Amino acid sequence: MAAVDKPTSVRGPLAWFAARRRRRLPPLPLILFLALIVFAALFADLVAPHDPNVAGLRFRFRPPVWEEGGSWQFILGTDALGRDILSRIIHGTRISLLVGLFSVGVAGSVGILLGMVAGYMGGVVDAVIMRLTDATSAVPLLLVALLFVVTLGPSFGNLILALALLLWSRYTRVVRSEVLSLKERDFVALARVAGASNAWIIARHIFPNIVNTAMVMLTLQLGTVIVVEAALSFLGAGVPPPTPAWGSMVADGRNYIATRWWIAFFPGMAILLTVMTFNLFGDWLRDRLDPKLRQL
Amino acid sequence: MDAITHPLLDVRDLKVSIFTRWGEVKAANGVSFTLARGRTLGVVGESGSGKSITCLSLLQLLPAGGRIVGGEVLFDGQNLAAKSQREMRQIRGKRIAMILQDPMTSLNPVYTIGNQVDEPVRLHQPLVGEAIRAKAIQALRLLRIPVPEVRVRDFPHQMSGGMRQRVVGAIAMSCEPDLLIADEPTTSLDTTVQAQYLDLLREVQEERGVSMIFVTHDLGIVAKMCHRVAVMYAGRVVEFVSVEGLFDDPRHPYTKALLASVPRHDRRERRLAAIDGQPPVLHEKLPACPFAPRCAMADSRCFNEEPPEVSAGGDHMARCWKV
Repeated sequence: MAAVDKPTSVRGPLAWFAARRRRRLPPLPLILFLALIVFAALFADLVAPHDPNVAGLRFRFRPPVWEEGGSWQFILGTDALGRDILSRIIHGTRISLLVGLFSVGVAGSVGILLGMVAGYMGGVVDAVIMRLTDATSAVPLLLVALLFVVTLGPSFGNLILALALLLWSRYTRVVRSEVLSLKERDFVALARVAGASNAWIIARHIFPNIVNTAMVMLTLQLGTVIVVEAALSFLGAGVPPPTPAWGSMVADGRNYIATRWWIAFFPGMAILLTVMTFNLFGDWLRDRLDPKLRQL
Repeated sequence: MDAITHPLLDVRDLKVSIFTRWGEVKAANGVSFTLARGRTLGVVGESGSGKSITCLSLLQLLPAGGRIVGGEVLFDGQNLAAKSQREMRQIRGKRIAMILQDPMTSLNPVYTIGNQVDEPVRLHQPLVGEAIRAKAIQALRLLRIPVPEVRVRDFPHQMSGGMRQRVVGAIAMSCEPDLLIADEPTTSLDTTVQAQYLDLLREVQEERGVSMIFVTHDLGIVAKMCHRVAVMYAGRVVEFVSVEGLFDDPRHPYTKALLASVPRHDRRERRLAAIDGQPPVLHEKLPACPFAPRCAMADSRCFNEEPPEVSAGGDHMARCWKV
């Protein structure tokens, strides 16, 4: 039986770091940023100081608080219509995260399921699914997503559908290769000897063994999807206005970039920091769960 | 003896082929043997002689491209070779169970021991909750795992190889099958653990009256474990004999050669005896008696006419012209 580690008590300023080492938590800044992002997305209505969509031409082009002419009323300034940038960023978090979670969720479930089926069944099924992933991977992501959304009309649902359609194949490939080696393991053979059906074996023996890989992939993809969503919003093919999205905020600000830099700068920073947070978290998760997965 | 007139398992002229891109491989080419209740059959032969394939075909678990092309597998009166996969799932794990070679990969690393021992129970018995756990503990106790009530919560990585193989045995015995197929269950265990494990299986057999098929290439294990022995060569049973007959009165030249190549501590030898030549390549055309090219006694008839099953007294059978 495994010995139960006795917690060694460490006091003082290093106590938290010692505890982190023991429980292997992510680095503190990463936790803080993740918490911030999730909090902003969940409680946008409570946190945001202003309504993100109310324009007030009297207040247009207010600089951030530390610039000359700025005030605490609009901490990060206002845009060309006088809307509060901080509030719009906070509400934009919700859109970015929702689009990210939904499209990664849909793409992930479809991709992982198809990957397991392809790897486990082999033969014709495998060949068909893998040629489909080849075809999907050959499509330029941003371009086709743009075309798709523009053709069907920009909406939340279409955006998610477009992203999911283009992203599922990445999961399929990785999961399939994992399953190929898993299904040769003796515990799968033993389950078959015990009278288990293929569905039982996939659900009970294959899936739990690929969850780690899947979690890492899902997290890393979240960052990618947020960038793509921002790019689409920037091009006007994202969630339709006036819903605040980071990409369209950057687009709004690009005409004034020389004189009113804050309109484009702060949403841009929001994108950068969020994507970086998810990528670093994905990296950490990969190292934590399975250091063998370096290639992901 | 009643057990001989009504054997638990009666395999008749079983033919299994594997269809590969190089053509048909006759992995089992007319295999026949019987196994009585509560008895142990040893299946011996070199790698590629068809012993594992024969066992897998009893359960209809052949690798891709493998198919039963003829013969019958009469298990308790039913012909398993004619059953569908759906019907076979009701038999696997419940009436016929199996132990595989490598305990290190036989257990799923993400589940506790208890969670794996009860898998056949969950698949085959309408039990829920505590009753399932009780079955798992009972099976672990049967395999002499100390403090099974605690061990059910352990994960495979917390156990040694010998313990894990006991767990695999407990999985096999959890639904109290009539037949246990053990495919070289001790090859990856070290010698002392191996001896303990074999003793344990014999005790389990005495307690539960389960029949066993023991696939091995170790004649020492055969002597220790088995009542009857089927010696296989190139997909054929070349000799089917009681364990006493195997060691005292082997008839087939291949069996004799096998016995001669076992190292013995009661004789001084400079070199081990080896069988000349190579094991046959199964997808090439074989002579009528596949052992003829390596056999010292072979003549032209051995190459051209298939040897019949010759009785060497009682239930001792050898497939050779020179018996």
